[in-house]
Amino acid sequence: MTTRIVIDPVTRIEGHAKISIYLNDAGEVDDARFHVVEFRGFEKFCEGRPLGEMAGITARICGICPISHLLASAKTGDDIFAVEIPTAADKLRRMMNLGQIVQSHALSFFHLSSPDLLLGYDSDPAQRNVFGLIAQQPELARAGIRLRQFGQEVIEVLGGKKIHPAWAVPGGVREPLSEAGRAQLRAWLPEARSTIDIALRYFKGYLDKNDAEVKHFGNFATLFMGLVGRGTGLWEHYNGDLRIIDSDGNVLVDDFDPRRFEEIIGEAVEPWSYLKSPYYKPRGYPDGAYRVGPLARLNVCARIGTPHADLELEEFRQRGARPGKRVVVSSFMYHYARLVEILAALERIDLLLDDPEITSTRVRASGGINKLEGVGVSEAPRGTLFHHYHVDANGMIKRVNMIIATGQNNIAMNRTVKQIAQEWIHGVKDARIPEGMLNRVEAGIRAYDPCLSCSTHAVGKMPFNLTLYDARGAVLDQVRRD
Amino acid sequence: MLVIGFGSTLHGDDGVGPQIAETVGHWRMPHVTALAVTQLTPDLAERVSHAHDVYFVDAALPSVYKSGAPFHLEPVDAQDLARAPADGHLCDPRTVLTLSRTLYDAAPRARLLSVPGRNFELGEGLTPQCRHDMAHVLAFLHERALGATA
Repeated sequence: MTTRIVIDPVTRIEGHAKISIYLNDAGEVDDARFHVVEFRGFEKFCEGRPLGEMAGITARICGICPISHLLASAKTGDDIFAVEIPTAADKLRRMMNLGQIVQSHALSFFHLSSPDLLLGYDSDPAQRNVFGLIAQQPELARAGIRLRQFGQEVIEVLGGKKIHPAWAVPGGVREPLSEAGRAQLRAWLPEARSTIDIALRYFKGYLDKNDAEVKHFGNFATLFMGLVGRGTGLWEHYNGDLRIIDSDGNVLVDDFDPRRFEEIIGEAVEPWSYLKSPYYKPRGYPDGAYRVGPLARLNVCARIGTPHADLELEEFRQRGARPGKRVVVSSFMYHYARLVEILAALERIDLLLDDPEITSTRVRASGGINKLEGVGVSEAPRGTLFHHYHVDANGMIKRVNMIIATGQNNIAMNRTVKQIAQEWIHGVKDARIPEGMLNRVEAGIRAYDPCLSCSTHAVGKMPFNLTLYDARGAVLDQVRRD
Repeated sequence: MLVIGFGSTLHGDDGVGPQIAETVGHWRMPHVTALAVTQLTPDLAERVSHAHDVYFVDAALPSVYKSGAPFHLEPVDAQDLARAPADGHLCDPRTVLTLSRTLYDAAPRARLLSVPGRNFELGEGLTPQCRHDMAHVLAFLHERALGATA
C-alpha cells in the first residue's frame, strides 16, 4: 500500500488544483499527480451559439489571457468562412497577441515567480510573496507593473478595452490602428525595453548563483511542440506550422498544418483530474508527453528573427542546453524563456509599428458559412491553443473542442512534481512533510504558469493546504497557509 | 472616483461587478473612472494610486449577508507591509490597496461594495434579484459620482 501526500491547493496559479504525492512502503516517491478538481464545461456552453459570438464568448473564459482565445476563435471563424483576411488585419492581430504575451509574461515573472527567485525557496513563506519582493526591490516591482501595463495598452489601443475586447472577428478585425494609437505605443516602447533588459540581467545573475538548483528543477526529457514560421522556422506566435522535436533536437514533425492537429495529438483523460492530458499520438500515452509554451517555442524555432532577441536566444541555449545540444530541457528555464519572449515581442511590435501598412483601413474580409468545420490555432502565452468548431449551415455551433496550453503541459507538470519530490523525500521522518520540498513543488508548478481558468474553465483561488497520509489513509500531518 | 468591478461575466451573478463598472463607465462623468475586470491584478495598484475614492464592486454569496439589503459596504484598509497577506490571494482589494500604498505612497479611501449573488453557475446574465440589487448599487454610485464631479 502507498502513502499519500496532498498539497491542496497550489497557490499563485490561476484556478483550483491540488497535488498528491504517493509513497511506497519504503517511503520513497512512487508517483505524483497534479489534480484539477473543478470543471465548468465551457465547450458544452458554447453549443447552439452563433459562430459570430464565439470570439467574444471564449475571450471571457480567462481574465489573464483573453486575447489568446479571441484570436484562436477568430481564426476558426476565418477557416469556416474560408477567407484570407487582409494583410493589415493579420499584422494587427499579431500585434495584439504580442501585447498579450508581454502582459501575461510580465505578471508571471515579476509578481508570481520573482518572490521565489529573489527571496529563495527556503525563505519564510510569509514573506515569499509580492510584498517580500517589494520590500527588497521596489523599483523592479514598479517596473514590472509598467511592463504589464504596456502589454495591456497595446490591447486597449487596438481593441478599445484592456479586457475582453470583441475586436478580432471572423474575416479580420473591427477597427484599424489610428496614427495616434501608433504614436502612443511607440512612445512607451523604450521604457518597456529598458525594463526587460534589467530583468534579463537580474535573472542571469540568479542563474550564475544557483546552477545546481536550476539543473535539478523539472529536468527531464519530453518532446516540445510549437508553431514556427512557415518555410522559415522562425519563432512564431500567431500563424505558421507545427513543429515537434525531442530533447536531443531531432525533428519529429515539421511543416505540419496545425488544422490537422487531430492526426498527431491525442487527448488522454485520467479519473483523478478534469485536466486532459494531450500527447503525441505516434508515441502513445504517456510516452508521447510534450511541453508547450515559452520554453518549447524557443526550443523548436531556428531563431527569433530580431537582433537583440536572437542574441538572447543564443545565450539562453548556451546556458541551458547540455554540451553539444541546443534544446533546453529544465522547466526552470520557462522563466528565462518568458523574458526572452518579452524582448522578442517588443522588437516585433517595434517593427510592426514602423510598417506603413499597419494603419491601413482595409482590415476585414466579408464571408459566410463556407465550411461546416474549422480549426484556429495560435500561441497563447502558456503555449499552443487549438479551437475546433463544427457548425450547421446557419453558422450555429454544433460542437466545440479546445486544447489548452496548460493541459498540454499536464504530463510534464506531474513529472516535475515527481522529480522534485523524489529529490526531497526518502522516507517520511517523524511523519512530517519537508518544508523545502513543499516550497519547491509549488514553485515547480508555477514555472509552467498554469492557467486553470482556461484549462478546466474554473475560476477562483483558495488557501494552501498540504496533507500527509500514511499507508492506511490516516492523516499524519497537515500544513495550511492561510 | 474609481470604480473597479470584478468577476466573471460567464458565471451568472458573478458578473454583477463588471456590469456595474461598465454602466458607470458609460455615464462619462468627469473625475469618474470605471474598470471592468475578471480578476484583480497587481497593476491595478497604479490606477488606484491616482484615485481619491475607490469602490471595489464584487458579487458575494447571499449567506454572507443576511440583512436582505441590496448591497453591503465596508471599508478597505491597506496593511503594514510586515503584516501583508501571505497566501495566494494576491489581489483582493486589500492587497491592491496595500500595493498602492507601498509602491506609490498613495492609499486612497477605499470600500468594498458587495452585491449578493444567487447563481454562480456557468451562464450569462444576472438573476432578477441581482438585477434589482444592481439598480440600488448604481443609484448609490451615481450619488457618489455626482459628489466627485461637483
